[in-house]
Amino acid sequence: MNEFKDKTDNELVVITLQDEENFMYIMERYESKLLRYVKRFTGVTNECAEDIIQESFFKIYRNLNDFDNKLKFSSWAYRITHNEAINYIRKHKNKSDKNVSIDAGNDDTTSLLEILASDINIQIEAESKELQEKVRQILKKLKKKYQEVLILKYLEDKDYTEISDILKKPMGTVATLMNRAKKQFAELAQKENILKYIDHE
Amino acid sequence: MNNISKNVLEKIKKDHIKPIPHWQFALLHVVVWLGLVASIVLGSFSVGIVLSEIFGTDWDHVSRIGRDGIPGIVFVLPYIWFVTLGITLFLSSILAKHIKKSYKFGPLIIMGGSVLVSMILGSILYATHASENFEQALRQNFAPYKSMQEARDGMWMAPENGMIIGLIISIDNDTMLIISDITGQAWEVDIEAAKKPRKFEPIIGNGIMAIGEVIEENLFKADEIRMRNPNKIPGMPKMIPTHAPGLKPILPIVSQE
Repeated sequence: MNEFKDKTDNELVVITLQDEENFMYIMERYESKLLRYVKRFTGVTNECAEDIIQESFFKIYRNLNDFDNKLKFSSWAYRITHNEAINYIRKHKNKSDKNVSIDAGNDDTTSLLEILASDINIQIEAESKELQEKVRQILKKLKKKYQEVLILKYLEDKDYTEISDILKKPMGTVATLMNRAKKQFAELAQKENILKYIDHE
Repeated sequence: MNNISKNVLEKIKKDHIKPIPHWQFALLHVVVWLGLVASIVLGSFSVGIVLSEIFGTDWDHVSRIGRDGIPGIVFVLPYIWFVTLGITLFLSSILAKHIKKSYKFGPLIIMGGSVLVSMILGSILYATHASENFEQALRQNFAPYKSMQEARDGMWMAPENGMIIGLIISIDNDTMLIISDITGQAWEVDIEAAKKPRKFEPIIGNGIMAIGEVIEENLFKADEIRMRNPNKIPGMPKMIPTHAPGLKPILPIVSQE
């Protein structure tokens, strides 16, 4: 087991293609990361997020031969999961058999606010459960395309190249979306009175 | 071992799920590339044909083919090639999205690139007459296209508006030509006072457009003569009559060879 821990993602892909058992190491490496990402991105319940991850892993496994070594495996895995999450939401949007309620329920929204605050020169007025809830509400109010880039940048710690690869958008578009997302987030935060002042310059 | 990972691995083993073979992805990529190249090439031919239609049209006489209040320009535009160009550009932008890393360029650059490549290649095809040859081959081998284009080219036959078009079937001392129009009808065309192209040489089998007026039945006095591609005169050359029905005894065909 330990010998596989030191292997790179690309090496794990190669050995998985030789023996399916080795796919476990890839899954273990990414399960919690992708699960967290799906919950942040979609706000679905844990059960729904697990369904999405399961389908994503099948898709990753089926498409291993299409993985481009020039791409980071994590970007590729995030891309597949991202698309799977979007498909899942679309599929279950109008069905009553599955609960796809938007219930973020995680506490790291505050950290998003903190990172954003330092990034766009804003000061946080208070830190409390109420604040976390407000941040969540603001995130929900943002357009999906803005949520995506903010989550990937500030919560998943992805750089612009990785975000570009995950969302399949040009770098310039990612940068534009990021700026607009931050601006819109800051404006909404101001309306919600959770910021003392905003200085975009 | 986490539950999700465990379940996935168990299902992979139980259902004997295997990664899709590499060759299938390779084949798919080849198909996408071929489709992209094909759509760009067809788009380029469309541009070339549109250019040859635009530069080959007698715009100063387009008004003569207008009818029922509809301007002549409406009848002469090569719609089918505009549509083909639109479809190929749409297809190439869709196919380009399926090429790895093409997303790095953005849809506008991909679309703009397709347009630019089609314009450049199309201009080359036009300049080398390759697009014209392609169009001719299409006429000869694709009957629905042929009949559609013939209907369009036939618009230029408008004796009531002082314009006839046809193939020279006989020549009388360089002042009177006998042409067969698109219906096979023979016309005597008086060209004595007509303005002619600088290198005009009446040769049997050549296509001409005559602008002037009908003097009497089957007799046309031309004010101007223009050369026309015989391949773009509908129904030609199979309709060249061996004699001109309804005319006085026809002059013997004089070869210019």
